[in-house]
Amino acid sequence: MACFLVSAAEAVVVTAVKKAVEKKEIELKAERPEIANEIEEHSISFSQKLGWLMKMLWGGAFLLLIEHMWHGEVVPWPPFLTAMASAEETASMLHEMATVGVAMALLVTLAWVVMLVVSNVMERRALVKEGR
Amino acid sequence: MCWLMTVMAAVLATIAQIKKPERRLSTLIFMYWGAALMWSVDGIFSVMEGEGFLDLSMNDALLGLLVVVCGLAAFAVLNQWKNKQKSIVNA
Repeated sequence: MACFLVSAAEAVVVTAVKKAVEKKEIELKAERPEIANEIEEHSISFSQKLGWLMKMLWGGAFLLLIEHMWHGEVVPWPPFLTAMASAEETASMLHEMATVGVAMALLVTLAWVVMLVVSNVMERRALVKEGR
Repeated sequence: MCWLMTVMAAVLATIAQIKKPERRLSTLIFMYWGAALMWSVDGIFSVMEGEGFLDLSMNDALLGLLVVVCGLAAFAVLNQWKNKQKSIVNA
């Protein structure tokens, strides 16, 4: 019905956080270039890692939007969601968002956390190999 | 079928990226994997409601095809936009 909206909402938050982190990284680069370059050389920046989550959430929400349009659940005229035509259907839509939608967002975030762990392990191994 | 086709597209894009890292397909890969994960949840909830995980109908196969094409189209538009931004910055 509108489960993708939960992931889209999370994507908005992640995009804002990514912008803030990017700004801080640029500030650090300007203030302490030697430290910033050292970090950049041996690891992937956190803003880039947030970009992975952002791409999964926006991309997934976009493709699910296509699916919902195909099934006639999303239309290009207000109120855009056909489930909002009646109170009963709206309640059922909200229930679906609270169950399926939240589970979708959680699974994508969990997959990202696993990617973070793997990436951190690989970065540490590379440092150990270099003898640092 | 839609889920299966999205997973296949994600796997193919991942393999293409691994074979040639200069291809820069990460946006496309994350888009397909994100959607595949989300549809997995949808499938699990369908199973819990007594329905099947996979919908093997022709209608769902066509939807899968549309989803893969839309993913490629969105990726192409994003790439064009990024290249334009880069050329503006460099100018």
